[in-house]
Order: sequence, then structure tokens, then C-alpha cells
Amino acid sequence: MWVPHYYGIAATRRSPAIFFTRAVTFCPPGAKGCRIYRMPAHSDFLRHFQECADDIRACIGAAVRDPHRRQDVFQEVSRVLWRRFEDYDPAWSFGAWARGIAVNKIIESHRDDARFPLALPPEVLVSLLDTFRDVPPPAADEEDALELCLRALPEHSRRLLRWRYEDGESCLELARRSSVNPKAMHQTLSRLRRALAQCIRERLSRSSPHTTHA
Amino acid sequence: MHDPADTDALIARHFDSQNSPDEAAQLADLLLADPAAAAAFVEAARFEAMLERSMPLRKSRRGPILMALGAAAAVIVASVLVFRALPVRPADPGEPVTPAGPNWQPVKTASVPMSGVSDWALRPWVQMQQAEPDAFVPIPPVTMEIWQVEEVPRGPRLKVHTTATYSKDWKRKLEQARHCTVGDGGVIDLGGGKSALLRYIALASPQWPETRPASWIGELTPGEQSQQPTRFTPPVYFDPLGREITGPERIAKGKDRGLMTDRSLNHSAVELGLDLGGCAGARILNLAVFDAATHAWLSHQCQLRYVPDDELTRVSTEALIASRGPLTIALELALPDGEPFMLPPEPGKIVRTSLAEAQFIRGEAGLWSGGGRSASPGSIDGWEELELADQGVRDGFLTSIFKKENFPRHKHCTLAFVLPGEMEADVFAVTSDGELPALKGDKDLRDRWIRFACFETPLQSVQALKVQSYSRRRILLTVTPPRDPWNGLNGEVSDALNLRIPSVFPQTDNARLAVQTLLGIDEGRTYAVVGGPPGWPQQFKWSFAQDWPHEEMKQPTLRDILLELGRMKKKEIEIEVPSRQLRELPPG
Repeated sequence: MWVPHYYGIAATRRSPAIFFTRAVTFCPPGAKGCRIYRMPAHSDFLRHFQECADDIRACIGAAVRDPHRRQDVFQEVSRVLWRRFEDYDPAWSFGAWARGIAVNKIIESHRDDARFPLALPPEVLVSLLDTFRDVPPPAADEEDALELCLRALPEHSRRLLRWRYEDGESCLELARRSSVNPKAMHQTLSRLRRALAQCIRERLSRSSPHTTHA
Repeated sequence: MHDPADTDALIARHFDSQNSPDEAAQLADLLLADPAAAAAFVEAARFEAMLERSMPLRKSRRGPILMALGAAAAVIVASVLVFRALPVRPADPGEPVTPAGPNWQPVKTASVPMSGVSDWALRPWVQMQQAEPDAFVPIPPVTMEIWQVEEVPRGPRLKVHTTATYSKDWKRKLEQARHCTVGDGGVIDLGGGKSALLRYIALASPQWPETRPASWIGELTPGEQSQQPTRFTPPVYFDPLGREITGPERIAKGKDRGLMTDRSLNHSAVELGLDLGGCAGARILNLAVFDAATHAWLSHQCQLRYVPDDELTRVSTEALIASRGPLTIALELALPDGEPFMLPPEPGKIVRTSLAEAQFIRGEAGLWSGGGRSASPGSIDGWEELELADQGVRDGFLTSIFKKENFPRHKHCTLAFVLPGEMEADVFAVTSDGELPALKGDKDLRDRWIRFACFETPLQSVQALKVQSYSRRRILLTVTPPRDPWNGLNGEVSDALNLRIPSVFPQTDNARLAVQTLLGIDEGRTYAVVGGPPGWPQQFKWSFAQDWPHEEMKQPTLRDILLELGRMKKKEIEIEVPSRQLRELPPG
């Protein structure tokens, strides 16, 4: 028997009273030894999700190099996470759960559609899940530092990065646009990334002299 | 152990897709065997994600579309020159605005220094009004002005600026209500105008707070207010906590980047102003359709980066719901660059995605491809990779609606349809020669709100369509919404069109929950719903204190809503609305 334990409204699958249900007691009124099943409240979803959204993107990006496909996969993963949020056990890491779903979704997409390009074999993706768990994500202020570092770049470098990321142009397209060969373009992009990473490190170390950043 | 430098190079090539198959295999082996390499890879992936987040992908693309716009730009420039030479007469303070039509306001043109005006920007409005005058909202004291055209720096896109200009009489009333000065410049908004209407509604509130920033109405001095009613003033943006987003932050992360709440509506008689026009309504719909009313989803789509996570969480999911006091929040959600909301392709579910806002389907040589994302010019290349998996949809829908024999001259066609959800945006219909292709045997189609666009050249058609879409031009055929949009959707229309629409709207409870989740809408409160699916106010009884007065009205339109609002105002707050329509309303 479903007895509302918290706000007085029980949830059902079809009509989840998501903001009202925190816990539901499965026992008759007055019975002893009631078992409390705690469901994750959907109101918590956003907090969890936004905490690890970047990591989900990174996880997807590791295997899917087409930016539009990445967006598609991310959306689909977001949707699955939302739908299956009740299955999530708060005792475990939401990020790990989400990344696992992301990897499954990527593999599933590839399996269902042979034209879905996979930059890494499925077994590698699965193995990387552990690495994602073990390697700490970037600090929150790294992104701020990145913004500053981007601003500090010469205009032509910023433009190149904008083409690369905002326009989603491939290295090949960029090379064509800039009339250089793809390898040179790749080298340029790599240098820019390294410069940005270095800049971030320096900024962070300046702002937190007693903290070391990887 | 692999040389770290080599590993880094390998990883870098991977993320630039510059690795050969051998290198890809080598990297895979390395990632499996070497934890250090795996860690470096993960760090690189995260760094890439951070870069991508810092420079989010935009959906416009240079190149062909710029070329396509080149000619348009030339026309616009010419128009600017011409229209600048024309005198622009602002609304005459003290002179009530005279409707130029029985049910609609005259549309004025005005030039602004940075851009100009083009008559084509007005044409859709005029056509819309002519086609469905009853549906167009009469707002007698307000003149809608559409300002055109702005070419934004981030892409070939045009914006329509709409402003509402008040008559002197109305201005006086507003000032009395607000205890502050109202600029003749009125409300300025981007888009089709419903947002302005919403603010207009809120402006009529007697509880207008004195503290409301005057800048909202226009950063004009009192002298300027009477002299320069057509001056463009950017809206003021607020984060969900009501803090004004100013300066570069506003520019960078303002309207085009996400949630815009408007403090100006606080403490209005209207508890919640829901601006469901444009993208917003579509997104709401989308959420309902997908049963994924998650702010995360929205925040992702809308690039709500300026909202700290915890605040967004709190505001969006708790504060709004918990609030029981007078609360008015206008939500306007916009994609980066204000692009129309497009769902990514989802084979087999294309009809569902079409409910969100628009779905473009391309047919070529009997092979239909489609996908929401594909509608963006940036992904034209991806079109061929997308097919509708659902045979029933493909055969039933596409072939019945868009029979090739109906379009003998159009070998390649682009179909665009937008199901109702907003008054302004349900039409794309253009042929390469500007004519509506004959719809043999599909007369009913024209009486519904499925529209289509057909062009001779697929690529150009897509681009042209996007140009329309970006500029929010609406080339109107007919606008005759069904009596009951939801029933129509699931019944008449779907039958007529042989649509196989998933039974979304029987799940109205889910839809309602979705929107409740999203916006904290609660039954029994007073809401103003402007735009959006016409049936919603009635469907969910969200509007007007849960008691929609016109039970016989199967499909309250925006006009109905405003009329009702006017009636409420007249009855409850004694604000005379000098409207012929409103005066014609029965007492009480």
C-alpha cells in the first residue's frame, strides 16, 4: 500500500508528483517495520545535472567528434537522465551514473546507425569511465580563467578558435579557409590550446599562490 | 610506456580528427593500457568541452548563406536609404491611435540610426492581419511598430524590433498607475510583439511599483520621451533573482543567451506573465511533448550560463512554486542568437519534433530526409544522413501532404511546418517563384495550420528558409486554427493528413506537470498567457483564476485573452480601456 509519507502525495509512474514526493512508505498504516523507499526528488535533478553537465559533454566529446552529433547525443542523454532519474541511487555519484548512460547512449547510437561515427572503440569508452571518475574535473574557476585567457589572445587566434568551436568547422575546413595544409592548421590549433592551458595555469596560480593546479 | 609528448600529440590529433586509422587504433590501445595516457586523454576531453562551452556552437554559418544574404542586404540597404528619407511620424501624444483596420492596428515603420526599415518586414504582419483579422489582437491604445532591420554581428540574421507606443491618454493612465513617467517610446521588444503585449498587460497593473526602473521603458530623458518615441532602447535584462544584468554581461549573456525575466512585471495584478511566443512557447511545448520538463534541458539549450547552478535550481524549482504572494514573472527563453528552437533529428519521431516549433523535411528523389537540427544551415551537410525511420510517418505524412504530383515544377522541395503554438509563427510558405503551389485535394490543409515551403533548389531553399526563420518573417497563407488544437491535432488533422502523431496530448497531465515543473505554474492563480498554444489557457485552466469565462470558446486566442484581460481590468481595477472592441464587450 502506498502511503504518502512526506507531502501527502504519492507518485506514480505516469504522473509523477515530482515536487511533492520525497519518500513513500510501503506498509499499511500502523504496521511495524515499515520500509522507507527514498526516491530522488526531481527537484534535485538540476543540481546534479549541472554539476556534471560539462563532464558529460567531455565524455561524449571523447568519442563523438562531430559537434552537431555531440549536441544530439547530449540532448538524448539529458533526456534519459531526466526520465530515469528515479532510478538513480543518490548513494552513488550522479556523474558516474550520467557518464555511464552517456557512453551507453553513444554505443547504442553507433550500433543502431552504422553511419554514426565513433572515434574510439566501445571498450575504450567503457574503460575511460573509470578514468573520468578518478581524474578530478577542472576547478570551477578554470573556466573564468579561460575566458580571460581567450580575451588575451591575438585577434586572429581568437578568430580561429571561434571558427573552430562556434562555427564547428573542422580542422580541414579551417585549413581550407586559411589556405594552409591541415597539418599546419592542426599544429596551430594545438599550440593555441597549449597556450590557453598554460595561461589558465598561470592565472590560477597567481590568484591562488598557495594552490597548485595540475 | 609511451612517450608523453607522443601521447599528447596523438590525443591532440584525435580531437582535431587528424589522426589516421592507425593512429586511432594506437590511441585506443594506449588508452586501454596506459592509465597515464587515459588520464591525459580525459583531461584533454574536458579541456575541449570547456572550450566548446566557452565558445558555444552556433547554428548559423557563413559562406553560402552570407552569399544568399548578400543580395538581401543590398535590398535592405536600399530600403534603409529610401525609408530614411521618409518622415517617420511618431504617435501623436494626445491623439488616440486610429486603427487602420477593423480589428488591427496600423503598422508603422520607423528607421533607426543603426539600421533601417524595410517594408518586407511589415508584410507578414499585414498579411497576417488581413488573413485573419479576428485573430489579430486589437490593442487600441498601442501602436505596434516594427523596426527593421538589424544585421547582427554574429551572423547573417535579421531582427525585428517591435515597440508599442501609447497614446497620451493611455500614457496618463499608465503614469497614474505607475506613479512615474511613461515614455512615448513605450515598450521595446524583440520579436513578433507578444512580449510587448505581455508587458503592456503588466503595465496596466495598478500595482506598478515605483521602484521599477525607468530604463525598462526606455532610457530616455523626459524631453526625449516626447521627442524621440522611436528611439531604440535595448531591453533591460534580469537574472531570475531579479538582478539586472548590465554592461558587457548583458550584451554577452543577455536575452540572446537565455532566460530573461523582467522585473518590470513584478507585483502586477497578473501573477505570472507567461510569454509563450516564439521560441518560448515552442520549448514549453517541446518539454511537454518529450515529457522532459527539465530546466537542465532548457538551460542547456538556452545557454543559461550566467545563472549560477544553485540559484537557477532554487529559483526555478522552488522559489517560483513556493511563492504564493503577488508574483509576476515574465519568462522569455531564447536560444543563442535568438535562433528558432530546433530539435535535433530523431528518426521516426519527426512529427513529434515538429510539435516543438518547426520541422523541416526535405524530399529529394523519393528519399526523404529530415531532422530538426538539419534545419540549421550549419548542418545542411548532415541532411543526407538523416532519414525518417518510421515508415508510417514517411509514407503517411509526407506523401499525403506533400505529394510530388502536386508540385510538378518543384523537383526538390523543402517542407516546413509549424504546428500552432504561436500566432505569429506558424507559416512558412514560399515557392521559388513566390507563389503558393496548388494543393490539389488538400484544400483542408490550407484551412489548417500546416504550411509548407517548396523551392526548386534544395540548398537554396534551406538557406532561404533559414533566412526567413532567422528574420522571423512570416509569409502567410491562411491562418485558421482548428477549433480545438489538441483534439484537432490528434483527431481531425492527423486523420486528414494521415499523421501518425504519438498520442502526446492525451497525456495532458504530463504536459501540465511538465510546465508546472518548468515554471512553477500552479492552478488557481492568475496568469496571463500570451501566445503559446491557443488551447492552453483553457486546457489547463491556468488563466484568469482558473475560471475561463467563455466555456463555449473552444479555442481562446490571444485576442480572447487580451479581451478577457481587458474585461478583468475594467471590472476589477477600473482602468478604462479605450477600445472599440472592449467597449463592445458585454458589461461585467
